[in-house]
Amino acid sequence: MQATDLDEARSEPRRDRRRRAEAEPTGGWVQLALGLLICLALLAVGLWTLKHSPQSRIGPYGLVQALSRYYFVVIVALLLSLAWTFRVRRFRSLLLSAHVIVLVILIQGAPAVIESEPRFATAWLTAGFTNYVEVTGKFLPKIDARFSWPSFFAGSALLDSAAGLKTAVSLIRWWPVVLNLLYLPLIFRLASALLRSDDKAWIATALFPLANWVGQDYYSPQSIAFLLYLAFLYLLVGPLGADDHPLWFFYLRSHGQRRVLRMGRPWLAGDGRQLDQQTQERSPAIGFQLCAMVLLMAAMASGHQLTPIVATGSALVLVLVGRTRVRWLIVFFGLMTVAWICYGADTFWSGHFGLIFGGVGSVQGNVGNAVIARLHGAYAHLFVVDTRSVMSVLVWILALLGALFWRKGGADRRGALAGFLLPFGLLAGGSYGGEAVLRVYLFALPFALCLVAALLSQLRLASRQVATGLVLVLLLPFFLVSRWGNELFELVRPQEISGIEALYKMAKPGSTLIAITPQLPWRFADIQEFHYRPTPLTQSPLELILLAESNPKNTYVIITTSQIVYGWQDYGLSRGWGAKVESQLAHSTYFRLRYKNPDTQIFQYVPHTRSR
Amino acid sequence: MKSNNRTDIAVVTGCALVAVVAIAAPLALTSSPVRFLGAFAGILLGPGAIAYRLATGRRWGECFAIGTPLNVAAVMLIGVGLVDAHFWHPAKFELLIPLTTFVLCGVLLRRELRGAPETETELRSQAHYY
Repeated sequence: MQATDLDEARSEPRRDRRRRAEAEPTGGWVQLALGLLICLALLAVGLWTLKHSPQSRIGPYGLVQALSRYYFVVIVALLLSLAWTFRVRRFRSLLLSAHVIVLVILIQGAPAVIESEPRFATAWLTAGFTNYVEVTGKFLPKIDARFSWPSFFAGSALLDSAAGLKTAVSLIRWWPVVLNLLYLPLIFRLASALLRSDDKAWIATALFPLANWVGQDYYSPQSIAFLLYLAFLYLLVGPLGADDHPLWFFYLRSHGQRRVLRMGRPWLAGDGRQLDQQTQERSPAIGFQLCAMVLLMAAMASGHQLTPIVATGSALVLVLVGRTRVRWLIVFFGLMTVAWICYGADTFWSGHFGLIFGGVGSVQGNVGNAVIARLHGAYAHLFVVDTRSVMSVLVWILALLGALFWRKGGADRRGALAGFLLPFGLLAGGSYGGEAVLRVYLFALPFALCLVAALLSQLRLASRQVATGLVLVLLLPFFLVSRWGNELFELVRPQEISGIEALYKMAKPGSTLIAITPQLPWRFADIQEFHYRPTPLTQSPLELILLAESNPKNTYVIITTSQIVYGWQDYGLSRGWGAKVESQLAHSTYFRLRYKNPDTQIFQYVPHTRSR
Repeated sequence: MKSNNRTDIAVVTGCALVAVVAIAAPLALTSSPVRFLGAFAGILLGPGAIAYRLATGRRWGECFAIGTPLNVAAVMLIGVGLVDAHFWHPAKFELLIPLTTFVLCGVLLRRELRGAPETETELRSQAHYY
């Protein structure tokens, strides 16, 4: 390795840093103590400010309206302290870790502290699925498509059983914080492998909590699948990484010598450049790492629809650009994914060909479903959607600039750029329920942050610190609005839970339960006992009557505040639309009010005998 | 690497203790924070990291970063296997994971690994490129 490479790869070798730090032993310890004290103090004050941010002040712009102004002071102080810590010589990793952990707790855990119930209706539903598996030891693929990829529910049920939890709902509240904390070491490892520098990797790691606004880290299969995806990527580019020419290079060279692509060998198949000492491992290590990748892929393939496809695609592009030694095994990864879809998820695809393949190739239609279809609703909601779009585009532009200004080319840049661009191919594959762009952003994020870190690393240390601090502070308001902007209808109100529990008590097994919008935290218990009819949006009692006639003796309609706010914000209905529907049902002879609290009303359908 | 390295002993002892709690708590306690923490820590910080350390000799930070997803993947696949085999209730199969941790801790303490961590660090700083 050349000296210039060394300088490029790491601004200061670990050994030199240690020697210099040992020359000033007290200074390092003082800085450590001071840094940890600052972190602890900011954590304590931050939690205190969150405790004193009332849930009742959450408004159309989301959680940001409820946050105390001191909270912003604490977070900005934390970000500036984080940027300053990049200069510290001794115990830097420890101090940066402490800062990033506190950052995750304060920004990802804000609703967990402020809100009285765990947030997000879909997380409650997932908990219901887990509870069902724990109690019965069975899946229900005919009731919900998610049961066709059931390994998350089964694994979580096993853990709940071992932990003695009565319900998986207990996990929902702090799940995003824990998952983000688990993502961070892998983001750091991945960035360190691609950027060849711990210093640069720390920039990517510090940016991650503020750039991860998509909210796929709630209690759900995709949150865990993303963790497995990150570990899979790291194994590809870290221990099993390569620094080779692109694959097509071997076929374009003119000397005619036949090239053989090898896998799991310490030397590359191409021009014979050696890998470093880390990759010249004995075969048990490589064997273990390959087995680990197979294990991760098996769990992804059986746990989530989209993640194994993206993981296989990422592996493929990393092979093509010469950034990994894993080559033919990716065929096996692809086969595992396809095999699960064919055999494990047959209940899902055997009646939903149109749903699966309907959007293939229609990029315009899929982007329309994912972006344009979301551009409706109240002004505040549009503002949140716009903020999300601006933030995504900002991160993507910075990433592209990072690729453009990456000092030395090679497989690292190609790998990061290819990994960043690959998820955009999802837009050609389907709309994924209108969430395709969210998934693109999430899967591209680890590579995008590596590219952004590469861009910031072009600056000298002092300027880099300032620039990193500025980017972090700039991302903060974008994050708070993007991540928690829909909180007014995504939060779960205690009275809603009381109402749903009352519904479960009064409804007999086999009853039909109708919600006027899908924004309802139900199905967290007894999912197989009832027929659920969440409707996209129902304003007319006539539609409800038609739905109820399928089960006239036992049908209930539930209306909650979250559903009404959802209709108002997401569909742009008037604020009073929910009260109007409630009034119509209350005055209708077809419905009888059975339960009422400030946030919930439950009506039972009253069948009428029709005269002939 | 000799496994009487202080860091190794500290980590392995910690993992073994948590594994013991993870095995004992579900058998002894019905529901408690100890059981909750024991189960989650014992299973999630379980055999993956130690097996990774045994196989590769890499640093503990990396071992835990990779080992935790491996443990999660293992729990997911065991769960699916048990449901598909209609074998959900008879036994507490999830306890196999902390049990494996315990066994691997013993193996790691006894086994000599090639290349001390210090040597590995030295090599990394000299040749941290691919």
